[in-house]
Amino acid sequence: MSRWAPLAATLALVAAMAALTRHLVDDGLVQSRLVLERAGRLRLLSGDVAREAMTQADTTQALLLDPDLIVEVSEAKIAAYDRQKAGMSELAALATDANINALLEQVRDLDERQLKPLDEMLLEQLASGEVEAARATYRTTVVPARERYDALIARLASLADDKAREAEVALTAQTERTGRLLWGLFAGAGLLVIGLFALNRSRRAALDSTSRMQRLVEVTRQLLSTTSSAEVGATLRATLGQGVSLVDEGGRGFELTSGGRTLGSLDPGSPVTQPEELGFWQSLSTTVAQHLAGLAARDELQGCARQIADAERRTRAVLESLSEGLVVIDPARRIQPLWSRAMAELAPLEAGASFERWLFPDDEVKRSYVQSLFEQLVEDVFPFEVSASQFPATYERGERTFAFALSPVRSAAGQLELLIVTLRDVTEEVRLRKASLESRDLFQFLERAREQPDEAGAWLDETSAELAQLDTDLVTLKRRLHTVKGTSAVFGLEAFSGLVHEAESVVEEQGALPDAWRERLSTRYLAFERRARSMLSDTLGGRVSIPREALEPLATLLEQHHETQSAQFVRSLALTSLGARLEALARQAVLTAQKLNKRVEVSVHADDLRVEPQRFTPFLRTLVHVVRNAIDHGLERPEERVAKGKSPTGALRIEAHRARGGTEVCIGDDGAGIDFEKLKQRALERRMPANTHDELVDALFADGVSTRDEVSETSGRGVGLSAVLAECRRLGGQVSVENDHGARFRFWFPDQPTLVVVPPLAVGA
Amino acid sequence: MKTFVLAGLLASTLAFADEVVTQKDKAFAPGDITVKAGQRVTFVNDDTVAHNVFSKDAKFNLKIQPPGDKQSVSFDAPGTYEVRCAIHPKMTLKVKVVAP
Repeated sequence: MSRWAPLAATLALVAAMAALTRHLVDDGLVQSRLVLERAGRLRLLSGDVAREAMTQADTTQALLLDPDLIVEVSEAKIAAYDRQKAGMSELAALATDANINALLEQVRDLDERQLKPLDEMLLEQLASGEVEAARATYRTTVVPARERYDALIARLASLADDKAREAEVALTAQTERTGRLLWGLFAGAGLLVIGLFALNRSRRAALDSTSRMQRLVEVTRQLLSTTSSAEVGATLRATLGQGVSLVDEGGRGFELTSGGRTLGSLDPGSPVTQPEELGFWQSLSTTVAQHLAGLAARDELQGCARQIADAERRTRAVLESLSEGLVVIDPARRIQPLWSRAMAELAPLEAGASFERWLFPDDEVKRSYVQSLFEQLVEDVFPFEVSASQFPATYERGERTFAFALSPVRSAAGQLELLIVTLRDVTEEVRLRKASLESRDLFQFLERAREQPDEAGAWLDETSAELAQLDTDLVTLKRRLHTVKGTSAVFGLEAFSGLVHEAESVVEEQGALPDAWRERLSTRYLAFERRARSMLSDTLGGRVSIPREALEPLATLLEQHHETQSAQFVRSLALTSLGARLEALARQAVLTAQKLNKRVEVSVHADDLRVEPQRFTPFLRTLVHVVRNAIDHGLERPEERVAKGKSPTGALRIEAHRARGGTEVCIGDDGAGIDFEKLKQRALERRMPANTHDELVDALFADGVSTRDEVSETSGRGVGLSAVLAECRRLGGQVSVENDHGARFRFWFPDQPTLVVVPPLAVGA
Repeated sequence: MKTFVLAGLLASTLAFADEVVTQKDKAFAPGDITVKAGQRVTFVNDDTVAHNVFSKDAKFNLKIQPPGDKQSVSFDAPGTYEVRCAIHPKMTLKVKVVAP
């Protein structure tokens, strides 16, 4: 062997080690992903099952509104049923935990014994034309059963979360084991290098000293002539260590062996006398022992390589068959050579290429936005989940929509090494969800309209008017949108109110409402209004409606016949009862509180006052902002209230009465009151005076000032109160605010010409 | 001659006779069927409740079928089609269509 051989062997080994290390990292990665996927699968499945159940419930709800829809929804409903069933089977197969199994059994029981038969019964009723009976079945039996079902699913999801946490702990342990294995392999490889070096040295020594080898037997004989064989054996064992033994061959002398190989013989007839020759034997034996250890390490490494290759093959198979898009990227967002076939089918992937360019090949703005999100994620300043939640939840490519998710792969030291990106096709889900949310809006609205037909009809008129006038200055636009959002939420139109909320955000960002958005709002609303009105005609049936403008000629006619009281009564029909409007506001307050999980008792004290609807309605509509602020900001949660020594249920008092030659509307609560400190801070930030109470009240009603840090669907944009003030001033009114044991808003209006006071009941008196 | 015409008519009637599937006790009877391409299948609601028979694969939907109603569907292309009821998800039927 040449003198360069050890170097070549070393280089080969280092290359092999590098390949092995890469395999190992890949293997660890795949293992990590598999463990994560299995733990997450349980959680995901419970969500899927709930979603499929909800899709079926939604289609039933849509059919309650319009049984003729059956042709349109039957496929979606049955597909959801099949997917739910498959999801339940997979859950059952996946769940090894007794608690989860017991819960699953309850879910299945509730679904199969109650929900499904109820759903069938309801649809049978619908099919045989018993629409009202079906709606009653839905309200009285399906809704409570569904609530129980949702609660069970929530519990299942929470148990699955526990499992996922356990899996994470196990994953950390596995990562540590991988680390130890790597160290073991490095150590083994090191030993192999040493072994090869030593073996080579010994071979060279052997070749260099053929003559010395020939002399060995001679020298050994000499040694034995002067020393006893037992002494030689003991010396060898003490100095050569394990693995080497001196076998007594009786009359034929001694044999030096290691691992079953004969290293040499010592003939009793040929004694060894030279100590340096003994040293040679020692060196040779040690070398051979090391060589053998090296061979063992090599075998072990080859075994590992085989296992790794198997794992690699399995991984490829998994990635080939995975239906969801999956790709691994490094912290610099370079694509790693590990992706699922589904991902590559979406668009070709290239290892080492930029991932954001793959995501958005033609959109520079989105690309740099995603890049900044990734940079924040990689900085690792915030918890991973927090940074990951900043990413858009969905990704659109062509006409498909995907759920976008990120999972981290960390080193044993916790450093972020790789990111797993998954894309799940949710196009169909999104479409169905949207359709079902819209039906739900209609359903909720019709339910409210059944109880309050006049208010529902008025709301439709008012909202049409508001949406027809969005082409206005920015401040009025914001107020209109805010009012439409608030009132539509109160009528249960969650999807539509959400859409208006999005429009508000667009206005906030762009300083205007783009035409496309105006079109979108109007199309959605008109479609809703058309369906709502066609169905409302039933609810409003049996009434005679007289156009408002016909009342005045009638009153004039009566006056001409000296029927003054009757004329007054006819005129009063054109007016709206302030008390009734405030009662409606009270119902809105209760609904808002339910939505925010707060408890409130609302009382209305109103004298029998009537107002002109055309003039007063805009103001009365804006009062919803005062009420929502009181509940969202003012009223504390029940536990906080108890801690403050208050009753867990908050009180909201709405009043209307005659005062100071005019009419006063007053809304007060017993909550935490207005945070004037924060208000002062916000006012100063906007360079507004904020020293006196009056200045602070002005700031409170100013456009864009809110004591809220976050914008929610309920409140926080600082638009609501400014809308109230604008409408109050338009009527020549005044406003004052007290902040003592809660907040109290007083609106006062002079009598004429805005308010008409009518004595109680003019007819039959 | 008369006999021949009658026999011919009978043969053609037999060749295109409808396969009948009833819906009774929330199940399709007699169960999975095999028909020839072009043959019609008549779905009869023999139940006490309404059904909504449809097939995604065969692209038809018979809408609401009240008790006593019957409707026919022609299966033209060979293949296996799954038929379901949107009101009773457990009701399934496989129709195998073979070349005539």
